Amino acid sequence: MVPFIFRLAWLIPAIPYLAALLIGSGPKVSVLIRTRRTPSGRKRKLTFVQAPALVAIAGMAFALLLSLAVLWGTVAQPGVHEPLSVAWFSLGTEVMQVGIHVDPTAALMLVMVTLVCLIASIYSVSYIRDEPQARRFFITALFSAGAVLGVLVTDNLLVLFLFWQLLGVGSYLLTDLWRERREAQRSVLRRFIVTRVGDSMLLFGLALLYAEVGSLAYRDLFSAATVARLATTPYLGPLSVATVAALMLLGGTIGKSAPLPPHIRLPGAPEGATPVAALIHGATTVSAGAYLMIRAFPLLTQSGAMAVIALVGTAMALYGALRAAVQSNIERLLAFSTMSQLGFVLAALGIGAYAAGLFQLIMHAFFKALLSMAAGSIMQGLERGHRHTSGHAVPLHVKRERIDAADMLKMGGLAFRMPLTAISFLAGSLALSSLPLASAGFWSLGEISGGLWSTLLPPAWALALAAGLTAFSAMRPVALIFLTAPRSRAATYARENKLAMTLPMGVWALLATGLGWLGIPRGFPLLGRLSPNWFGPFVSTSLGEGLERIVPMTLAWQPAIVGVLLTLGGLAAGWWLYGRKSLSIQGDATVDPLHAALDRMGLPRLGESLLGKFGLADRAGALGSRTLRAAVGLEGLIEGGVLSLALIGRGLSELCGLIAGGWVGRGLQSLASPPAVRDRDVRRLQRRGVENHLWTTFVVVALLIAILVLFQRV
Amino acid sequence: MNLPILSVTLFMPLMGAVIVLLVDQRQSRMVRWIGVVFAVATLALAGMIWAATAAAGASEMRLVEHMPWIPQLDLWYTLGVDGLSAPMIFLSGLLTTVALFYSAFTVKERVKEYTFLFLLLETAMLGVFMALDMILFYVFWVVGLVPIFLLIGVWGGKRRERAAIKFFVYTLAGSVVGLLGLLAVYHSTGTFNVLDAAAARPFSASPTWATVVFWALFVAFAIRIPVFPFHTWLPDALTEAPTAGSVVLAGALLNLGGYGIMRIVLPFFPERFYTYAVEVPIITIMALMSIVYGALVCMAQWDLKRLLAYSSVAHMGYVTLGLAAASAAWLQGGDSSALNAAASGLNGAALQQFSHGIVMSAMFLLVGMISERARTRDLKAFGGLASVMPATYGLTLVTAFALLGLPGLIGFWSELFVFRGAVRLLPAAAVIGVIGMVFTAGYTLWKLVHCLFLGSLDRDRWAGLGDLLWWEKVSVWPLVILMIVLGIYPAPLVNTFNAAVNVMVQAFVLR
Repeated sequence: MVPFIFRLAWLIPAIPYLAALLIGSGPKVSVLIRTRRTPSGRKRKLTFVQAPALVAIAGMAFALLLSLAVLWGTVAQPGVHEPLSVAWFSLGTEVMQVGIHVDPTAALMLVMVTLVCLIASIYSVSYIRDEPQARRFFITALFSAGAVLGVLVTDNLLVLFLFWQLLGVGSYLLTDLWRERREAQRSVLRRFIVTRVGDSMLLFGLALLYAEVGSLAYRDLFSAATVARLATTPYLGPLSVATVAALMLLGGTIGKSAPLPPHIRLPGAPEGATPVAALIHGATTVSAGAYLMIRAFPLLTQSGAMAVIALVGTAMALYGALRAAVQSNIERLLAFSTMSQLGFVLAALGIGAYAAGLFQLIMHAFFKALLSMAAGSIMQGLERGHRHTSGHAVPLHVKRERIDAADMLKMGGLAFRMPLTAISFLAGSLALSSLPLASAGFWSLGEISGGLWSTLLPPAWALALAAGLTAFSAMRPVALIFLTAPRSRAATYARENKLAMTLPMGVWALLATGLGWLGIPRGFPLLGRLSPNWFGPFVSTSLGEGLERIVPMTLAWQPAIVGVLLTLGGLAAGWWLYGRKSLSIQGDATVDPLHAALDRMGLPRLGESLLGKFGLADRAGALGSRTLRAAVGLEGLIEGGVLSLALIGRGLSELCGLIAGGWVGRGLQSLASPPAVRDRDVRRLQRRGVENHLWTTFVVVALLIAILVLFQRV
Repeated sequence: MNLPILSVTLFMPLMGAVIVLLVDQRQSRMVRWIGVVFAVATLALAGMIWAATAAAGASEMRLVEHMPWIPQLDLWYTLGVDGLSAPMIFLSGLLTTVALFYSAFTVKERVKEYTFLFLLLETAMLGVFMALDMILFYVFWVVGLVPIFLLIGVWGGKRRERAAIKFFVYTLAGSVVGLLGLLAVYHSTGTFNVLDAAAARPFSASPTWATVVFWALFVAFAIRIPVFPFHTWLPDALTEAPTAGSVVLAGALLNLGGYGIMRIVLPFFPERFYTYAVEVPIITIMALMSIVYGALVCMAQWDLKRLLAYSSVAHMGYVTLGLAAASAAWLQGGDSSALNAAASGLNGAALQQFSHGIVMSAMFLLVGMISERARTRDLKAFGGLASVMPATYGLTLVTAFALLGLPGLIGFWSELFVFRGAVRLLPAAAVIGVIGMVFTAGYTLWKLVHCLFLGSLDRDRWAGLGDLLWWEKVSVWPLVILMIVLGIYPAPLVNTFNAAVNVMVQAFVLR
């Protein structure tokens, strides 16, 4: 039974693609769910659930069932299973095999991804109304889901790379959702190219491993013997093959997972689909990037790149947390917090805490999905409030507000207007803040900083600081959105959403919190029971033998205390700054106490730069476009250089025309002249009768051939 | 007695050409379909040749035909195919068929001459891939120049004459140098047979002569590939040629250059190749310049067809890079990992030619369809075409992804294989070549997808553009299907190339 289930694992990535194909080619059918009255109360209007949504939900549910079956199989038989392997092609004397790889790590990730994608599909039904848009949206979403599932089940870095790139295409296809919006498309393209830089590094790493090992299957690449050999083979100066490959894979991961999703950069939410897009982005792209590091873990541990990974992870964690702490846009806040959490995962892997990193990744996916859904619900509720205030009830002289539904400074006091959403968001926030005892995040974070504590002290402090900031940026939106008094008419009249939206969210809130507890039944620290929990040993069976550098999941008391104190401090600071009393309003704008405090401390630039007004990411973007412009300029320069060459060429052609006929000069000239100047020059040259020289040359050449052929004595 | 299938295939298009000559000029419809029928027949035979070669083991010459031609001059009519040439023959047949089918609906004037020239061109291309005698090879090579010269010069765009002459001067210059090189090789080895000459190692005693002859032959083929800085004829020729002419020129004719290097230059002079790829890395620098310079020009180029032409230059740079990487294994004789890396580089080079042929042809067809409808090739005039030409948009998107080397489509494999070879044997070149990937993604998506299809539509100008007609779809779909099928399961292609390449690597490294 179990081997049979494992053999079926290849179906899991195939299902979303089949569903996408079905949606793409299927007839335009809508299924009648119920009828309802229009607001005016006269006509009865029909509400449809689109067939694309049903197909997508059914597909993801099927994929989830299969994933659960696979997880059950791995629980019954832990360890690595490769039930299927077929020949793909042969290169040189080697044959490339392709197959299925199932182990506890992959199984857990499969369940996580399919679950998040399923809930995203259900949740988006209430978001996306018109049929063509639903079609495009679900095709895009299923494309991404299929790609990340493919990344998870393959036994081969090459297939991983294949699906990895399809994932990029999936997010590129978002352009199709916003065909008319140039700015949106620009940002999607920009992201694709940024990712492409990472991808080219990954391809380099892949080619290097392929060349050195002669195979890209995990069992060949990551076996203890191969890894040990790679770690001692020099490649670039003092760097070994393993180190270079690890750095290249790290580049791929960062290029994939670190950039913000493209829709976050957009001004205004396009058609309200962004929370769903964020949901899918978090479950697919970010997980895929981290999964590569998890998969390549045996190689990483033996390479010299571990410290680099830990440092990069710490830097990402701190940077993301800093940026998240000051955002007033809820979606951007969540995006930066995702970046920061990915940093924690990388830091964990960098110190060898495999299980902690994986645990953090999975837990983060769950509570970030919860937060995304709650954010979507808040935005929807606010828009309902806005529609309410700008309807007939409002006198004409009252200025119509244009609202940015994601701006937290315009919210406030929503706790009693949207209670279900408030509870869900609070649960997600507490999980994010890694509150002691109340959240799963506490455990993984504790282990990560504990591991760093014993090896690299400054990063440990940086990481603890990042944890404190995370707690602050988790409390801040709770206070801003739900506490004190409403700060806009839309917030005053905001209403809780319908059950179609709140029910999946509520179920998910229970699930996310409950799952967090499942992860730590035995590691519960009452009376100092610090025994390792079942999660670590379970996922560790995914790793081969000979990995002595893995840090076991234990808690050290100093970092734990520091972490707890910083977390509590962050939470308290968030409440103290934002939740204690109503924010002061100057004119139209709400004053953010944090920015006011930074101003008072004489650091106004800090807040602004963290907010992105002088932000690093935007600077980098500007730098990128400047580089592109410079590249185009360089092209001009090359053409300019070639232009002077053309002048030389023309001079030479004159000379040669005098001496031997035009052919040599003509050749040089056309060799050198750039497209822009060529026509003019050629016309000038033609006036001087080069054409004649040319024909003379032909005759000479023909004669030459004839002579060579005739007088060739053999 | 067995049917001489190679000769039959080789002269099938020529027979069609002769029949076309006999038909009355006014019956253009009949002429068109004679052309298509003969092209299809040739394609079917080419498919059989590939299947037979693969079945018999593609590692050595199969279906060999050996007859005296001009015995007084020691010239033999020797034909044969192995894993390297069989797919190339198929590709030439396929692209000629597509081009003739597409032309049957688009070319209105001088149909008879047009069809005649296309069929003649096909025979010439097939001859180059089949010939095992150097002079026979050369004859077909030169015969191929004339039809494409006339196709550009007569049916081309506004500046066709200049482009045609430029093409002719360049390629003829290359051919003359090449002929001199081949004659010199005969002097040294005493045979015109390609395989015997390679086994005899020309000019092993005199390095100076070896260098001179090596460069003569290399330049002859490098012009055709084309490698920077010999590439300047290509943008003009491809821009001015009629759409079907661009398809065959970019897709099939450029492959002759790379094939020539793999069949003649590399096996004859492995140590010279090694010298100039590694010790004095002129060839490697040329390859990298093609990649980087070609991509940069694409970034700055706003003429659609010219953009594709430079993109061709950049893509063919990977062919040269793969060859350079393979040659770098020469000193590392017994090391099996170096041998496999060299095989990977050669496979990559061959595959890059094949995939470039498929992808670039499809791109030229699509771009030709758009620019013929719009009567302009200026990218800045377009935008938002996705809403009026959805089918074109979809096909272009797939083709563009194939062009930028997305895994799952055919363009990826060659990049991977070339890099696998280069990473092991020419690390510095691999680093620079990988950067080219980013540029490629940039210009492909920005120019060919965003500027054409996305953004806002100029309704006054483009609202009337119709989507693809049935015969346009029939022309493009086979290429797109091949991109996807061979992208997912490249074994039929890679295994065939690989069988021949393994033997080649053994021969030139282990001597």
